[in-house]
Amino acid sequence: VAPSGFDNASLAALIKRADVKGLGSAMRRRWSAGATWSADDAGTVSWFLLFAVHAIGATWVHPLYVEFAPELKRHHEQQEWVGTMNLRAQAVEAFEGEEVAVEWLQEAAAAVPYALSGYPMMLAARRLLSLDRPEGAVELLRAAVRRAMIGVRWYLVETLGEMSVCQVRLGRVDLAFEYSRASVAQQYESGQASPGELLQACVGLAEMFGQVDYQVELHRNVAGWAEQEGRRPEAALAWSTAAIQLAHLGAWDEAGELLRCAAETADRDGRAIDRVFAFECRTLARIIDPRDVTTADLALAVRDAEVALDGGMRTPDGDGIAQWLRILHDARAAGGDAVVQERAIATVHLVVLRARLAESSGEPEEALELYAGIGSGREAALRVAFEHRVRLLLLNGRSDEVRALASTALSAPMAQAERYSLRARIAAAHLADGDRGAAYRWAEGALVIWRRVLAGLYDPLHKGAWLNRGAEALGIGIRALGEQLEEMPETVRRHRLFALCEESKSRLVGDMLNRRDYVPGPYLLASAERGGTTTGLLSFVASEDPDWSLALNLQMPLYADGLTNHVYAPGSSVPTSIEAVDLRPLRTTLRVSIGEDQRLLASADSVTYDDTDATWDRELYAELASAREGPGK
Amino acid sequence: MRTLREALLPGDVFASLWLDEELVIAVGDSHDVHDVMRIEAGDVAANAAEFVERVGADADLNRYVRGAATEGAPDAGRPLREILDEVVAVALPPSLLEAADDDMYTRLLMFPDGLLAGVPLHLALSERGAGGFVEGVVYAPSAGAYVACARKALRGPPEHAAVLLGDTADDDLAAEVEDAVAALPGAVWLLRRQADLDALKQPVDLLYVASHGSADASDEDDWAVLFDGGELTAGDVYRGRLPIAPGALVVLSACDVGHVAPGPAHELEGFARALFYAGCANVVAARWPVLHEFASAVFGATLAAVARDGAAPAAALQQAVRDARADVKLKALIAAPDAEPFFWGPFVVLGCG
Repeated sequence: VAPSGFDNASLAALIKRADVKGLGSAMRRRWSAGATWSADDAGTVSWFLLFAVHAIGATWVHPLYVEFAPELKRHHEQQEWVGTMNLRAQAVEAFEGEEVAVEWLQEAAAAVPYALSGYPMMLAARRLLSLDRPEGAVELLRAAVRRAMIGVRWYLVETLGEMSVCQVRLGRVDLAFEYSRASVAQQYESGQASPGELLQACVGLAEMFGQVDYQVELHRNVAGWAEQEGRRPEAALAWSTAAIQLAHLGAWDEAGELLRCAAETADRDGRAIDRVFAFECRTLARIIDPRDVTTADLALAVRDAEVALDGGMRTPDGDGIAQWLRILHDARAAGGDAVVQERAIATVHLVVLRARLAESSGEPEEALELYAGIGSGREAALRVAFEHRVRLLLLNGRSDEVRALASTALSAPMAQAERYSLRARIAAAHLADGDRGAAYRWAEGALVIWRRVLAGLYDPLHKGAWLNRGAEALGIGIRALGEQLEEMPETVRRHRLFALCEESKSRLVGDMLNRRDYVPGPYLLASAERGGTTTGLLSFVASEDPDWSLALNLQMPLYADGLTNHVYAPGSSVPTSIEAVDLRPLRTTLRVSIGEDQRLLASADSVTYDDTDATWDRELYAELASAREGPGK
Repeated sequence: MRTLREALLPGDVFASLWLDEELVIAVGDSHDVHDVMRIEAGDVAANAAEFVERVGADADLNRYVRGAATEGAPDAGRPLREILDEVVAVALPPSLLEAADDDMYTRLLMFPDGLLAGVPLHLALSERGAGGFVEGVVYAPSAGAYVACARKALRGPPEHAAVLLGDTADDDLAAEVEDAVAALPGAVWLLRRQADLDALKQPVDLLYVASHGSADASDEDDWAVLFDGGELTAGDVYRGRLPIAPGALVVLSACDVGHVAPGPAHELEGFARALFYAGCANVVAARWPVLHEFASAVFGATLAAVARDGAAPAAALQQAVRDARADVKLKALIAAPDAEPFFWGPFVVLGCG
């Protein structure tokens, strides 16, 4: 959209016609030599020049830029001028390159008032990141965040977002998450997000960053809170959501416990739909664990499920199963009756149990047939069934089907831990087929996600479970690189093999070694036992790692007592309503990592042989970078 | 210091092992990762397990000591040396053996995996009669652990040293403690009772422990050294009851507590892990039961070389073991040549050397 207040159409027409001469004349008439420019003028000229570059090409428009550059690049102290820096920097970059743009922005940072100087710093840092100079970028961003915190904080959220991107590039995904969360907290504090949006944003960010322990704790917290207030269905749902997250990690015992807890909670209200949900949770607790279960246990579970289903609905034997699956499919397609859907899903549980029983009885083909009948979908039972199906296909040497199914499934949204699992299965299928190159690439793809999730784990048991799950992809990667690969130089192969071997072992010992040096971990504050956040702890973090300190300080709104949400009508300086906000569910999210019984809260990265071998999360980087605020970069 | 290369000294050679169904070994130095090998693990895990089990059994201790009640009793199985040789034949690649003969390499860093972490792989190298590694051998659970230790290791004479006497009624230990105190420059805290430990004003940067140790409990937290009529367990160390400065050196002159056991997902467990958690950069210890005569000679000399002469722990331990091997009184205690790995194999430096 072109800037307003000017005859945009005629200029745009000139640009479209590639009439550089006409464009120059028109622009000179509008912005004559010697005239005093406003900030809007600078923004508008930048915009048209950028438009012209895209439409005509930099070479043709360059003389025009040279004419206007002195005004565009002039430093002014006023905020409205600083606010146009993004556009002006893009123009400088388009005609003179990123290096010159960085230089110009750094000059600007020195020329404008302190509180505003963080903005050009942030823009310069963005370009340094693009030039793959993250160390330089983070220096600038540290300073920029501090400056952005002064006054009205108009560029703070954007700067925090940039810092998050930068931390991902530096390989500190856990800290990047803290900055993203700080950004959300700031949006909330400044009234740009409601409490509900805040919670949603926290959950969404946790998902994107693979912060499973945080999600589990968040859901547990919501569950406890809801139960306390008598909202049992909500509590049961939250318990079960936490359980699913744990199951993805491979913490199946704990997941089972939480599912049983969800079932008990749901059962207490006695409504039909809640009873069905309770049934689902109980059976899910039995089917979610892929480890070996005895045939007798499974037979018992099938019988229990049949009895339970018989009590509330038709026994889904034979045609009954197909019928209920059809109902499920139709109901989902039509977004239909919730009770019908729940019952249909309950049937899926029974089918999965039967498939597990068939598998355990040495009838994999029958099991696969049952799984295939279920299909796929977002419901937990369907996802579990799908995972079992892919696992069983792989075990039975049907690698083509594994690749086809898993590749299709990967295009749908899913938890990071699920994504890891599917990528690892595809890698295993390639390895089974002898395609070591593809196996290695998929294993590395799986490990990107695995590392992301590992970085966010702070519960030793969960971490142990996830380390076990990672062994699959690490092992595939190591086996794939065991011999020379055509597509990989030998030096690279040796380095990567060393890195993978090292990555696969002694992670917890590594944690121990690092922890006592008080390398700040992901969760440093506010444990209940320590009575919440303390100034002492904040000072401690500040002295140990200023980057952590900044991110945590900016999240303090989530820990304030008596928070209120002020709602303003557009243009009004008086709130139309003031609501008390209870943010207790969010308060579990900052943790003390130095408690004596919390041994393994921080993640010590394994080391590579040298810097050239270092890997970082390019996927997350791209995702975050594409979500940056503002036009252009 | 973020990569292994940055933490390597010019004379270092390293071997990183990964043990699963296959054994992968990477060998390199400060110039490059020169060699990676993938071989079928075969019986290496079983052999390593057998070795660890054998050296950990008290019966073997008595059988191997000249003059002990069961000296010369029938061996429970194959000779120790044979088992060790079989492990080493697989786990030490030719490139590492060549490095041992190459003067340019002065120190070996081993990052073993699983059961191999419990086996003194370096023993075969030092017994080859070649140059070996004059600066010694360092074991670390992983390259990352080594780098972390190297990053924080304290060098130079200790400023806050302490000596812990595990059993005041044990005259041998008391004499060993006396020697240790004499070997340390400056003031030394003597820890004989829990109250002495509680009264420690600041974390120690060097701790010498003369005690009896045990690592046979199923829970790593219960692995312990005797202290003040009770035990100082790994759990106590985790709970911060042993104030240790980041980067410290701890010498554990006690049986067993240098043992490192494989845990799930290629993890390694042990008393040393608790010490690392407490802040250590180096732990000098014995992997299995040792006679007091050997322990006091080797650990005492190691302490003296580190504290008085400023030697690196790995070099100091290696020299101490060499000197002990030349000691006729100690040699006289060894019942048979086949038992030598039992007497010279347990001493280990864990951390960064």
